[in-house]
Amino acid sequence: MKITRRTFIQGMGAVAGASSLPFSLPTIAQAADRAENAAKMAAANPRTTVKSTCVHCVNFCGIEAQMEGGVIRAIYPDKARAAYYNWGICPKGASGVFNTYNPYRVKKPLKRTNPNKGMHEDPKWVEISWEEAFQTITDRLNKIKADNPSKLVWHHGHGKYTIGDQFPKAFAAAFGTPNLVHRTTTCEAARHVADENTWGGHGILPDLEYTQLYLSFGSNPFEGEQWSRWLDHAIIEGKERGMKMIVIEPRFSHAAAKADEWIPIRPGKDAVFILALCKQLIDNKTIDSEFLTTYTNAPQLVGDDGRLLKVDGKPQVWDEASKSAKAYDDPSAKAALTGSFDVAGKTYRTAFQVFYDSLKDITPEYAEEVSGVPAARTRSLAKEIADAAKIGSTMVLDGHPIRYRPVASYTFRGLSAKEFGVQNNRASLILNMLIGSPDAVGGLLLEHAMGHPEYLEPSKCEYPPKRADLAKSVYYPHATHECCQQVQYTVNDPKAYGLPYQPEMQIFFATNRPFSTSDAIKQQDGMKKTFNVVIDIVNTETCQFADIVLPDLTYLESWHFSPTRSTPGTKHTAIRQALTNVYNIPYDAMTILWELAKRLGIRDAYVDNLNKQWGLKETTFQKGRDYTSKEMVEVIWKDKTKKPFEYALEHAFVGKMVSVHDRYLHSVEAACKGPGKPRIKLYADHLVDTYANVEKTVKANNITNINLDQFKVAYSPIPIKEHAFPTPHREAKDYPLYLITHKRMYRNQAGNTAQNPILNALGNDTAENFIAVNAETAKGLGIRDGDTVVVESRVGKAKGRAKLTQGIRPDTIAVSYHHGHWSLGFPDYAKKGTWINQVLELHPDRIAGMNSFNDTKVKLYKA
Amino acid sequence: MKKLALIGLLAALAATGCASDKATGTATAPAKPAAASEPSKASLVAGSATSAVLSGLAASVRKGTALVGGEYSLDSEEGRFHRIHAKALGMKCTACHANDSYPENFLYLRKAEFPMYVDGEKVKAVNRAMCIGCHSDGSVATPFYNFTKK
Amino acid sequence: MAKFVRVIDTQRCFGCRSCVAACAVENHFTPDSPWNTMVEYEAGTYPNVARNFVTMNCMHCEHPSCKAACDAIGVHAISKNEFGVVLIDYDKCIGCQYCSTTCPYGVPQYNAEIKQLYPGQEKTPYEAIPAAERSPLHRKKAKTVEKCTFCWHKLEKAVVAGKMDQIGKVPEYTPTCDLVCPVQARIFGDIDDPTSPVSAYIAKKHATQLKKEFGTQPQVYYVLNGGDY
Repeated sequence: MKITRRTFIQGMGAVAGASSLPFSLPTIAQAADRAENAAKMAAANPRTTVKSTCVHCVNFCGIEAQMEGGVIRAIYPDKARAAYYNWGICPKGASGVFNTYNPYRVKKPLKRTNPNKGMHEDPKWVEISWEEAFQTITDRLNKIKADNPSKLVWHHGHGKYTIGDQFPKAFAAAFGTPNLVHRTTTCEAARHVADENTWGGHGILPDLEYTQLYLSFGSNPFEGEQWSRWLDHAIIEGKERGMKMIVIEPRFSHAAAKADEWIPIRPGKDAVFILALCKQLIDNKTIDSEFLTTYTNAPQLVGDDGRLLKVDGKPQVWDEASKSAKAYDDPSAKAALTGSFDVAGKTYRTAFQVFYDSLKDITPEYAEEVSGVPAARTRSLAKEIADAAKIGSTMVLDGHPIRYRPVASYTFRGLSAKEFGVQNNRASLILNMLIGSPDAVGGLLLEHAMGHPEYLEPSKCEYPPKRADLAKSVYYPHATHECCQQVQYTVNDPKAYGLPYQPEMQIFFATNRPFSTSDAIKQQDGMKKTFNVVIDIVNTETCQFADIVLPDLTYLESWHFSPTRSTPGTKHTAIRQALTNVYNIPYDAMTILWELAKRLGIRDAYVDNLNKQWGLKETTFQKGRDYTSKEMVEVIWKDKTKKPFEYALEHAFVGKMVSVHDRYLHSVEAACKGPGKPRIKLYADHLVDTYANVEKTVKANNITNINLDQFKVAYSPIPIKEHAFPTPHREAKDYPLYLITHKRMYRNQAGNTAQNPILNALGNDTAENFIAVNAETAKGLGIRDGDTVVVESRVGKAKGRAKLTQGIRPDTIAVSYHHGHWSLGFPDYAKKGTWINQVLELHPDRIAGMNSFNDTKVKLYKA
Repeated sequence: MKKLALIGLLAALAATGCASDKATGTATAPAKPAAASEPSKASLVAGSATSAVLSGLAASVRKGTALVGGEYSLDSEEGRFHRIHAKALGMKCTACHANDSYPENFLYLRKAEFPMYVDGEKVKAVNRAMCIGCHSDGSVATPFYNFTKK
Repeated sequence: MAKFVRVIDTQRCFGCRSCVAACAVENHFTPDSPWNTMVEYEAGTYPNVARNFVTMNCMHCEHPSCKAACDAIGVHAISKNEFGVVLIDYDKCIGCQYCSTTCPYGVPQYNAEIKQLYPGQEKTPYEAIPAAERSPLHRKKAKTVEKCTFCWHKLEKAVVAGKMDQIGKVPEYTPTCDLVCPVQARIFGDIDDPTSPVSAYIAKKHATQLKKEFGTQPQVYYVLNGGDY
């Protein structure tokens, strides 16, 4: 419609409800002229919108790209996604335009001409054709396949989220290598493994819509982390409703800033504090005994050897009525929760008794000495938890009466990124169990309990290992999420670990191990020994050790059947779609894999494995043809949603609400109660057997690089106080300060945000990081704000600028990740700040293989 | 806030002792500071000579008769802004540029820029509240603030 | 008729700076001249510490001091349109920075030179959008002053389309900073409508305006989290 003065004025009149307009007609006439110009401009350069999914991190927020004439003009949140996940987007998502519009991106395949690899060595790249790149890679892969396909190691990290690990998994299976390694042990693997070894599945979320008391152990959705675009909104809404949030962590993070209380705990000591809380709850008789006896193995009888008493394979409990041992799931048994009993001349305690006895010395005073949390606070907090937990109550939702326990103890990396990550997490899970919060309204929701009962079995402790990352071997017996930082140590010296082959080639897909692991410089030796291919969008630190670099498309240029994050009340399925291709890059990771499979002659096997990995049933990948990335996504979408692809292109996602039944009754209620059903392991008895297998394997094979004493401590079936004393705390005596690391909102962990000019300009503090030190501590060390200081640990040194703060413990310093890049492929402005990873001691969790990040002890002094 | 600012300004002017020179509207260099601790009683009485002087200067600036140059800029030598305030009015730098930076809980969009450096010289933060006294509607100088609702 | 205001709730804000980033991208950010910034600071003594997050962009005052100064010297580069939005005309601006000095809130940003986002590299397609295809508010000029426009280039489309009732409600007609907040800490709407979300929010959460002593009557309200001023 052509806007004329008359139509404009009529329009204005209509809007104003025909009441008298407060502006004169000439003023409105001017407005009409301007509006006419605006309309002309809008017609010349119309803005169109395309919905998609952001992949800066693992929130997978719904976005709506704003396009003007083929140029991405801005990124908005997709408001339709708010009902299912994210209300807004973070600054990374908002400036995602420049993740794509980045002249420093890799645009053509590169080949190194300098044979020497090193962190300061210029690879002397030359651009090569895609044909030469594929040919070189395929030649090598063919040789390896004919010799021993295990000699290929495939790594990914962020790449899992840009195309889905189903594609690399299918490729690795078709090729015949077991060596596919994701980055989870640099994320939160210990939390998953703690879940798996407790309730046979992994994934927890606090039921924040109903929670009244939320205990956050170092979980920080306001600066990082998974599920954060739901957690942040749910926490803020909860607070306004009256929910109390207590943040327990050494640093005054943004989460602590929004909390009702910050408990500045000493790093690495959470297990002791949590166990002290447990002891208080038990001593005060404010525990959910019914939950413990009904859903957990707390009443099961444990012998002196630490193993469960089993008859015909069934764990036994002590029936108080008949005063005899009965099968744990015998409905006639009134199981004793506490006590010591004689069965056939041997003494057995209930698992709960074993646990309680182990807490004897973990008084609030002891916890204060170890963790720094005042004894009085431990006592009062235990009472607060008990009051808020409403043990014994139910809430009726949708006609279902459900246990109501509106207290949740939750974590992400806070309890996980440690040498004793699994045990610290288990301590928190046990705290939740004591008040009956698992799968209760307002409590901690467990994703599909007992979905994988095999996780609750002892590990076979494989030796010699088959995999270069030693996952599930005697070294990391329960590392169900691979063990990414281990690979380079094994590659560097396979014999040291009993690996029966020397890996020869590594492909790194969107991951940056030499930058993002702990004690990271030690990653380099192994990488110098193999032929390395990198697939990424920027020239990262990993590229410093690459032989060939292949450019990938960014998330705004490519297609994906996207992962999504569900919430307690919602689920959704989504795609990501391509908006542009700025540098006309002809391949993305999906089509690179396809091309490699084709050239290797394994395309049919690849197709079979793709169908298996994606679980496709009706619409499947067909043999004998090729697919574009878009076509691949269409296949998966159609099979998973049964909706036409046009729907995906228009809406980018389809969502659904989770019923009350599925939210509260499908998991613990369905799988951990009643006859024949396993119980949640408060007491992880199988870890005793795993340790026995470790000991047996070590002795039988004369393995000298496994410390059995340390393994015994690590494999305790219950968390104990030793789990608050990681190696650096015990050994680094001359290093007085604790060092912790953390995320910041203005960068992601994959390294491809360091070059973003918007993110670097969000304030004068976002282009670099700082060494946060307590102001009093700094004064004592003669350090002023802004001084250049050195952080020194037993394994490395790093320089940085001190930032004095009140928001950290006096005995602790904190440095964020994401900064201090050193790749020669990065411009200088993207390399500011301190690279802290070279200083972090690495002591992987012996259960999960989790890379430890927060256990290091350091010295701090002026440079 | 307004009263304080005005009194502060008068005190600063008295301290520079250049009030009488301004009666003719001629820009002169500030006189040597007289006994700064003893401002003359006359200058503190409302409706006094100082107030008339300020109004006179303001009027001459607006009329274009004040010798403050024609350059609209913040340049400390040539710009009218500083020629009016620092030279004609004789305000010391520190009268406005009081502190290196703003208080922690002070909300000012460009806060992080201060102290800034212009041509190698440090420019300290200015609390704009300084300006309210003279520059409110109904006060002596060109009004920017506190316009009464029409 | 309609008076557009924004409410920023600093009790909800957790300092992600997404609004800062979104504004920059929406408005052809020129380095060193942000239209939206975060004032973040710490208070207290360990272990009793607090941290506050407050963002600021233009207050679009009812009696803007920037406009008064610009008019007083006869330049008239700053206007306040019939919808209350205060705008700078870069063609008329002489770069004197008088508006920067009179603004109680430190809003107008002087742009000495228009720098590229990736200095020394080829221009991105975003930067290569020709001036003629941009809103006049995005045709940045060196040696002029720029500031938040309440995303007038979006609001005016609502006016043209006769959809003023959708301002603040749909993404197309809402300032981008108000759109992206993950925790809905920012609302934009019509305070003259007593039933609008902004009107209700201001009352319910005791929102106030900053620096009222200047009497410029800002059209941005804040729910404060502490003794900020």
